[in-house]
Amino acid sequence: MQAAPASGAAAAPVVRLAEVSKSFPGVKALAGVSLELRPGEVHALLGENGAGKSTLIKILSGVYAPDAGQVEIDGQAVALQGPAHAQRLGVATIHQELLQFPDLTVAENIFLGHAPMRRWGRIDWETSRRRAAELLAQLGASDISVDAVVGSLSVGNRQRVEIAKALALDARVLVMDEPTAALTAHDAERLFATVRMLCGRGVAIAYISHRLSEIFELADRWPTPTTTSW
Amino acid sequence: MPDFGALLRGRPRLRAAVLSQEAVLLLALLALLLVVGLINERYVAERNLMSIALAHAYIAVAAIGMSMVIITGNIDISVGSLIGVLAAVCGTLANMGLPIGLAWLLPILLAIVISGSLGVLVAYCRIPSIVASLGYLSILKGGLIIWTGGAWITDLPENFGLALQRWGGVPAPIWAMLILTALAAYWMRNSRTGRAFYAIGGNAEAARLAGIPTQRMVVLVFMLNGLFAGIAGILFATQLKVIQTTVPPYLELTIITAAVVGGVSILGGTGTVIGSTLAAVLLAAIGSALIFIDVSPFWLRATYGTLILVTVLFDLHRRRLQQRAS
Repeated sequence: MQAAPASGAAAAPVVRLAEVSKSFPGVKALAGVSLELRPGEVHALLGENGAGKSTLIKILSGVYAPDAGQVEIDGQAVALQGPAHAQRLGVATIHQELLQFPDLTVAENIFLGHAPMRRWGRIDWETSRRRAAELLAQLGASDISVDAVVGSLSVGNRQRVEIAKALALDARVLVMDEPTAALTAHDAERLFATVRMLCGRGVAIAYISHRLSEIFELADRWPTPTTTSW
Repeated sequence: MPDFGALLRGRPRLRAAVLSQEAVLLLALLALLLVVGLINERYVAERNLMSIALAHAYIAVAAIGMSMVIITGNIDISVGSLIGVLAAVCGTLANMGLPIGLAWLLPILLAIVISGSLGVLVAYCRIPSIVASLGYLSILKGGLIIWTGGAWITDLPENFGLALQRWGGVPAPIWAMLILTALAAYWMRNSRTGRAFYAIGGNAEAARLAGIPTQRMVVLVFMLNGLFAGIAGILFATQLKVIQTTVPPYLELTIITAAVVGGVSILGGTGTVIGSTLAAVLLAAIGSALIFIDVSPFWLRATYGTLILVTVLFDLHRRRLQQRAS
């Protein structure tokens, strides 16, 4: 187990969920869940299938609004208007199935929806490619060509592209859903190094996994039955 | 082949240029011109080349809009019927004594409204586009026959023939094809909206999560399809002194063929309008070639069909290779 980072326990949470509930017809997916994500900490979320993990992720990423309870970002209660709103507030999510555009290039995948623009509404491809290369370099992923089509990359590299995308959004909170599920052992090791590096930069990470060994390796805190309902 | 790959590795732009569908189509077109030209040199006479381009200029214009729709992962099989209706509306308006500019413009606006409403059914009512446009096909085709009784529209005003005009010796429809293709290709490549169309066709869920208003974009792409179908309809209506008020047979299929053979993946997410325009011209060149080498024109549809299947097989093969590489 890792020691909490120096800034750890003292830092104010970036995201706080207070008594959040969400129901769907016939199912109570979340019942009064509370959670705090702090800068520089990896917060593990464990749970069986159907424990409400995916609902929680969707609330964090702005896809669903909670029925009851509060979402706070930087101490302010917010009603997220959708995924783009959550991203603007600094919350980026890497979904398990890596929601990408397989026919588009790495650079375009990283900047889709918020590409740097030139005059007359034209996308600035040169700046996109240069900044994409810089972001990949920060992740130690300079081996990925920014002009490669994403569908031609390995799963591990596709995930690194997703992390670069989160960096491009200046994400302060990164939600990772079962990130090692489809990775080779080597890629998983590389991912852990990246997660620690992001932590060192003060990013708050919500790490969803059912592999306990990973959680013990990475996490600074994990929920106990007193803080969550699962 | 491995040597070839090694040569191109790390030079994606070169690789893209060498292997692109546009390059393949251009080579196919040149090869066809060369081979048939050797058999019968009148095939490559300027007069015939012009008539090849002219024959499918309006198809190419309609295929621009169709390509955009297919790139978003949708399709519109009503576009042939729409063009038939627009031609009749255009002729009727001109014969009512409307200023000729309005007789040309109003059908285009009507097309945008009709196609836009189809887009609403697809985007908000969640009707699959092939079914929604099948409904439109029947309504438009049936409505046209009820309205006109199949009678031709004749006695059109002197200045009606937009498609008969020549600017700098080149027929107006060819200008329209070239200019609209260039503008649309640039816009699809460099605008946020154009890229959003590719994103939606590539992965609709990911596009939504990236903050793209996917439903509005689908309505917009159908409106653009209406715009290009409208322009194509005017070019079609004004190419003769009379307007036949029946829908040209297979028109929508020829337009879809141009898009698909042009490299627009039927699964959405890839393709360019330069490809669809090249394919539209290639299809016309094949039709003309059959005449020059004295093969029954009944082979034309079978040739188109074969081209579609070959293109789609190559597309699927390419995707499989891509997946295996990852």
